Order: sequence, then structure tokens, then C-alpha cells
Amino acid sequence: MAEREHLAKTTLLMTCRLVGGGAFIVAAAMKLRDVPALMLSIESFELLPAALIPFVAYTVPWVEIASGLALIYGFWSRSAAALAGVTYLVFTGALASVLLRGMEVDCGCFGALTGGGPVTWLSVVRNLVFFAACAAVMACGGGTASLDCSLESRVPESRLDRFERRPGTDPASAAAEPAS
Amino acid sequence: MKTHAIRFLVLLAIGLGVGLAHGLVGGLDMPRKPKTSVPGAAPAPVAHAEPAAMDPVAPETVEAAISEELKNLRAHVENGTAIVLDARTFDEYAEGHIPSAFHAPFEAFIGQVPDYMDMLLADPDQLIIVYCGGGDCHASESVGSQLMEYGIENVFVFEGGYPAWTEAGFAVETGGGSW
Repeated sequence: MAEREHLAKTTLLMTCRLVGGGAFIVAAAMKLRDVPALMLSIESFELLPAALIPFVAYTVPWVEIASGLALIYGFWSRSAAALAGVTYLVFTGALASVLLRGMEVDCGCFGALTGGGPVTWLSVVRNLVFFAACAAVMACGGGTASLDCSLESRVPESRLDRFERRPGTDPASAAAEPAS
Repeated sequence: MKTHAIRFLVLLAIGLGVGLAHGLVGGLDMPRKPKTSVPGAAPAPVAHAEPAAMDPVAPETVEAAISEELKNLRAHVENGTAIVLDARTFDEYAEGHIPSAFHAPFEAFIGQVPDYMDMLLADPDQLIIVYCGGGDCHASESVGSQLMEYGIENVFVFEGGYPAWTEAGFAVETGGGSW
């Protein structure tokens, strides 16, 4: 029973990582294919001063890639999920503000390749689903099918190894020492 | 907790650092935007003065309600004094577009140079009017910006887009069309 629960949890966390991180990678790749278009898209939200827009347009996709890749591989899972979660919340806030102001703006969420669909409440719900996936990883970690888990499982061994090699404690060296 | 915060900041710094480097290489400038007031057209030559299909039953009151932009665009379409580009999707274009408009989606500029650029660059002073779905649609603005990147300066965006054209009752063309 416990084994099934463990398997279910591992699968669920892996799915959350792949969904949250995968969406970011796809979105970033689309955005980076045409950054000037992304700048125009950000400008249409009327939330940022013009001087900041190019900086945001170039850095946001790379932040998405950094957190997305870390999430997919399960490396620093909680931190990556936190970064992705914060980013999703910022995006969701921007989308909601556009809708509350009654503006009809192209989402630009996945660059220009999505056909320029307007922002709808469905876009907000979609982002909240991605945020929920990240929140799950933030709370529970990356699960056993993650790079974190593989690295953590090696740490006790190495520590034990170091402990055993301390002078006087290593059986091999103790055996080699002549009895006094 | 502290470890997670440090890792969070490291990931953020990696993203910001690479992004900033990319920005410095790509240029941290906003793209130039095309103008949005469609200029007036010269009087129609006599040979083209019979645009019956273009002119729906338009009582004077309706004609007065049509914006100056739309009137100018119609004059350009009738007189053939501008190249009109439709920046919407192919399905939307095929369903109906402004007569003589060419399909020029923004996607055609992504990672490539559209085939029709040679034709447009042959006369860089040619008036080009781009439209899309109206409202806050930005496809026309994006296409216009791309054209200006290639050195075509006489680019205008018709902000009313296809909805304004159809709401005025002007004739439309359907089908795929070609360059």
C-alpha cells in the first residue's frame, strides 16, 4: 500500500515538474524567436515604463528557461518551483489586470506563434494550473524521480565514506597498522 | 530554508545574466512602430473610376459615419495606390479579406525572410497598409515593425482592421489568394 502511494506521489510530482517546467521551456523558446514582437506585446499591457520593456523582454524568457530546465530535471526542485511559481503569479496578475481594465490585448504568453489570441479568463485559469503544479513541487520537493533525489542519496554514502577514512577508524588502515 | 533562498537567487541570477547578455547582443531598443493614420489617396485615375463592386449602397448618413481612415483605405484599394497586407491567420484571410490584400502573417518573419520581401523592396517608397483583426490586435503592428526593420519606411497600420471594413459594408474577397 505504502509502495503504491509512493509511486503515485512520485508520478504526480514528476508530472507537476514536467507540466510547470515544460510550459516555461515552450513559452520561452517561442518568445525568444522574436523578441521585438515580445516587446510590443509587453507594451500593449500598459504596465511597464517603456525603458524597462526591452530588459524585461530579453530576461524573462531566460528566467523561464533557467527555472524550467531545473524543474524538468528535478535539480534544486523547490527553489526552481518557487521561481517558476512567482513568475507564473506575476504573469497571472498582468493578465488579470488587463481583463479588469477591459482591455483586449494579445496574450503573447507563448510568443507570436499562438496566433495572437486575446487574453481571456481562460488564460488566467491556465496560468493558475501551472502555478498549482509548481506549488506542489514547492511543498513536496521533486520526488524520487529527480536529480535532487539522486544527489541526496549519494551524500550519506560519501559522508560515511569520509567518516570511515578518518585516521584510526578505517578498518583497512587499522589492519595495516602494526600492533603496538 | 536559507539554502532554498540562495538557490532561488542563483537561478534568478542565471536567467537575468544570460538575458542581459542576450539583450546587449540583440540591442536593448524598442522596435520602431509604423504610423497609424492611413494617408489620403490621390484622386482616382479615370481608367479606374468604376469601383462599383467596392461601393455598397451607402446613403450619405452612413458615408458620413465612416472614419477618415477607412475612406482613405478604400480610396487606396480602389485606386491601387497602396499594397494592402492582411496580418491575420490564413483561415481568417481565406474566409474574407479586403479586396487585393495580400496575406502577410507575422509568423512569416520568424527566423526567415518572407518570399515577398523582394517585391516590396523593389520599391521601398511604395505605400504599404497593414491590417489585422482590429481592436487591440497587434499582428499588423508587428508586421509593420518588421517591414521597417527591412528599410521599408512608408508603412501604415489600419487600426480598425477587417471588422471596421466589413462593418462599413464594403465588399470583401474570399479565398487563399497569392503574391
